[in-house]
Amino acid sequence: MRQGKGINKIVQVAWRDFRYTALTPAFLMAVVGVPLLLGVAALVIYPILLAQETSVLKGRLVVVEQTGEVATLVEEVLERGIHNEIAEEMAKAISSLPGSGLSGDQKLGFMNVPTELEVEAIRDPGRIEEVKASLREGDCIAIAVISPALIEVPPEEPGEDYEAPSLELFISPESPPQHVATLEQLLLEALAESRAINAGYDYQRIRRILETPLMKVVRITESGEEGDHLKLRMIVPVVLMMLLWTISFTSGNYVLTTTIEEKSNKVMEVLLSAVSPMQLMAGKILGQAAVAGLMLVMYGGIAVLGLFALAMGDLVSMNLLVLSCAYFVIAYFTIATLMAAIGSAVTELRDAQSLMGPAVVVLCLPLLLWIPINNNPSSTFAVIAGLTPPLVPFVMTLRVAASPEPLPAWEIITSLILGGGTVVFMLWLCARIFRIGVLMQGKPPSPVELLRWIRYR
Amino acid sequence: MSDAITLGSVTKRYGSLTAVDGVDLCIPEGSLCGFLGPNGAGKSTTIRMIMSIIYPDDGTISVLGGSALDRKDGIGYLPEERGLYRKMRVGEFLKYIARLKGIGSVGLTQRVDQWLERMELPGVQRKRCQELSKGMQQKIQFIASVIHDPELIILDEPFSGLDPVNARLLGRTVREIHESGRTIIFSTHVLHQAEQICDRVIMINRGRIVLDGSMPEIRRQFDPRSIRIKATGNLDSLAQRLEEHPQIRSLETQSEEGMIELRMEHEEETPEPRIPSSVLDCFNQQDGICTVELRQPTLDDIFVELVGSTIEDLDGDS
Repeated sequence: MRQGKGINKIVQVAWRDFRYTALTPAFLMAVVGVPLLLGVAALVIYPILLAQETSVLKGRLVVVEQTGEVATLVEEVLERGIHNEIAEEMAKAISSLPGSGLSGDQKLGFMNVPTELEVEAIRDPGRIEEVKASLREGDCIAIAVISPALIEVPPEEPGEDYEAPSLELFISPESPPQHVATLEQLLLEALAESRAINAGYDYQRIRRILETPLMKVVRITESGEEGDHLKLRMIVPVVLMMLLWTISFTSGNYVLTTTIEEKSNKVMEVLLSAVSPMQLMAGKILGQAAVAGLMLVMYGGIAVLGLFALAMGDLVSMNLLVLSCAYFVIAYFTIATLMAAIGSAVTELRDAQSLMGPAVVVLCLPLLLWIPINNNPSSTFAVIAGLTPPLVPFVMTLRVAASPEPLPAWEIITSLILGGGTVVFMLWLCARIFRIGVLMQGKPPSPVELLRWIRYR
Repeated sequence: MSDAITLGSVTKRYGSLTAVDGVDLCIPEGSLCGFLGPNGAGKSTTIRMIMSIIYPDDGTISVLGGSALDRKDGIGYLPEERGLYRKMRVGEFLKYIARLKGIGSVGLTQRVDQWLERMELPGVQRKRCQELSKGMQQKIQFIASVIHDPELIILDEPFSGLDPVNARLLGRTVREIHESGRTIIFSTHVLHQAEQICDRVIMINRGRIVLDGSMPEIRRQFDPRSIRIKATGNLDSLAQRLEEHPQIRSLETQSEEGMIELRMEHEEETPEPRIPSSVLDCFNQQDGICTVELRQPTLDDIFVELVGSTIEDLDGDS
């Protein structure tokens, strides 16, 4: 009966903390609204935005050069269309994703500026100032000054004193960056073609030769052949670990701030007249655990559903999902208990920063070590880091997700035991500090005082 | 009648400071007890130990026959440090505290409404706590301490910060709750409030209990038969006669105001205050006496007698 009452009190505290953290407009907007908006943006708005064309590059382009050769080539490039390698690569990559809304030969509108340019060649370099004046008055939109060296074939073995010539492009202050980038591509392509002609090559043929082919990677598994997503496969472990880290710290931070708030607004003593410090601590940690769970479901769930929707479900196996959830529980309780202990010991948030410092440095290590662990999840270093509390949940999530082969069972079991042991130890430590700290006001305790609180019976 | 609270040789130290020093105390069920003393006397520390919020270094505490930890739902507590969730709505806050105190959801809204009505705060249920005035917040906190109809109510400085109208309302409500059979302890350093409300007084100073008893007992114990005489004409002859009287302990003449104030020896066999006939004879021999006033000792007087200084002086020191 008494135990039932105690549990009911814990549930009441947990529900209040959950209610006043998660069921608020700001939180719902951040945790539910933003992922939904991002999802809608990714599926509906983004393809439309990608296909949107930018404003027309319109006006007179003056090319100052002695031969007039480049101006002619600029007109030819404009006629056949500027070769935008980056845009084409991106279009290919995006169109390869199922449901991207782009077909393979469709171009990314925002990276392809439509042009209505009139090209004028001026062969007298002495007129440069006159042309600049016309740019200032708005008679032309850009001036390209081509020195003879620019269209010469570069030496096969340039000496140490060789200095590559540069192209000068004068533009008006109103020119948008996309227009300037388009002019650069246009002129550089015309110059490259000019050099190729001068060297006796067929520029179009060279371009086709240099064009990179599309690579299709197929992973052969026991169940058959599956398309591979190399880049995503490298990113998923880091994203997963970051998700765990961010959610654990965000929720842990809620435990910290609500505890400090209850101390600073003096409601703590009212609460302690109704519940024991342990019931209060348990309620607060469980309430924020529900908040963390909600965040995990929203962010993690949307990410997993997105991968399945894009036919990339093989990137997250059931084994990975189950283990990630287990490590998430360990990560959350490790951090939440730490934050509850710190929150109970101080009266102001700024005092908490100094106590949190050393712990946060340790817990930030996985963020610094992810590259070597991700590259070689079975290395000795990765194994040791994965079995070192309090890094266990983060490093192990990274390892499980990054490893092409399932990790040895003993490593998983040992990590779960160590992680669970860390949680039990942290709960004990937090309980010892919390019961004393919640009633303390004024300056934060020194490490010696904290030790005294822990030992106090 | 059994005791609601029993303290046995309770001591609490903070470093070198002994906040509560070997306190023995029994508060019977159904008492309305004032816990008095200057700031820093050890009142709040004792109350916190009674509530099991902090624990004594030595001694034993029994509340409602057990530990306060086990009987939290039977105790109502208004702490000295007032606190509310600023952004929480009043109704939700009171329901939250009531649920923590073991009250079920059935009829809870009506219970909250009734209490708000009783404390003259109708219609504030939907307001956020931060929107209320300080006095209103204090009344909300009082409701939070009694909403679960506890057997024992402990109020730490309940009147501080209240205007006279609200202080009177709170005092009346406290008496009504007491009349329904509840045990109430409240601490205060404003002695006249305790004098008006309490049927029993415990006075604490520097961590030790210096006085414990019912108001009539205390008055009897400290009844110095203070008599104030106002008269016209020469007071010297009257003062001389009174000084020679064996029952007069001390005498003070204020000639400019035409007043003599005298204190009489305490008589065990006359429990009710009265002026001895031999003293009255002295008055009868004096012409021009306007008033003779037999003064009851106030708690302030008693405190001065016990401690040697007023509570205000000690408050200033602390």
